[in-house]
Amino acid sequence: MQHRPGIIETQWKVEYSNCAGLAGSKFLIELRDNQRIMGLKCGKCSIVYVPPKSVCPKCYSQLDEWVEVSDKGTLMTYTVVDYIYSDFYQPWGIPYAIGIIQLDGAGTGLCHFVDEVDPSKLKVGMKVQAVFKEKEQREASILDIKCFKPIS
Amino acid sequence: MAQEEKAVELITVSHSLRITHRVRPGPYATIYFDGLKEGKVWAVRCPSCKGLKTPPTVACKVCHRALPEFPQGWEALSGKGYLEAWYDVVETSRSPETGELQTSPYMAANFWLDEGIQFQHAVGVAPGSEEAKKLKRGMRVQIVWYPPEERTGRISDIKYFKVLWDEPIRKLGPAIAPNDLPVGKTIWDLPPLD
Repeated sequence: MQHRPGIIETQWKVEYSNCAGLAGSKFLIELRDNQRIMGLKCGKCSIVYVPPKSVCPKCYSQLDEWVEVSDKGTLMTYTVVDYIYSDFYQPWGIPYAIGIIQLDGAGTGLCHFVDEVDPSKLKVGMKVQAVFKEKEQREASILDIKCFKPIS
Repeated sequence: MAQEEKAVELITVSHSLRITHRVRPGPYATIYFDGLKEGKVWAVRCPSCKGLKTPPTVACKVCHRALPEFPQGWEALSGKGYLEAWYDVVETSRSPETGELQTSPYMAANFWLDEGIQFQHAVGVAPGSEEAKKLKRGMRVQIVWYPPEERTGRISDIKYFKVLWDEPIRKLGPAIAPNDLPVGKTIWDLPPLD
């Protein structure tokens, strides 16, 4: 622990373990094994949630109707990140763009990277498509989708 | 009808983060931590109620008046006292400094210092040892520091309080329950009854 006059500096080591849950795990496993994006549909509200939710946030009914959604969608909004705050969370350097993509067939947006394009050319409303990693590199993580790229 | 239970695969992500944490202790506490680095435990005496306070704070917690600035009214504790109570801490928790699991067990203890205040730290015997079984309330203790080059300005610069086995055991009065305390006093403020 460093000690400068007036300031005490310590390094906190915080260990955490996070489980995706039943719905989240099935979503990630479908990405890894079958290269497809699945959502859970609420029959009452007619909304397909991507990423899936076990309980509908609007009507609180238990959801168990899995549907596949397209890997193509619309870029609803995006931002270009130009600031490093953590080497752990940003190992690829700056700048990079992240956006919220509403896939065709889904009622909600999925947050992911928008890449393989010049960030200055991004426009709200443009059509984008998911780019998957090779099968050997997929490990049931949201990053099994490498990024979304504009459909030219 | 036999019900087949399929094993469900659950995805878990675990890792550890290192977060830098910076704290400004304030003017009085900074002098206290610097003092620990030098091998001194600073305490400040309130000019109104004459109570001694360690670590030093800006206001007296008994009478709420302002405590004087260093060095007026500041005393370095002698480091000698008597053993009041001790605890065998074997199931350790996470270090408040780093969040890591502390693995070495120690014997936490309260001491009545010669100055008339209580101090919490560790007593220098291994938990569960023969020496630990011989501990008695009222034994004379003395502070033991880590060598100057290993001190960094925190309470663990004090290694422990060692028991002076050859000194006579002082008879301490009964431990006082918080309900029986005089108004305005805490159990840490009262001198031992003889």
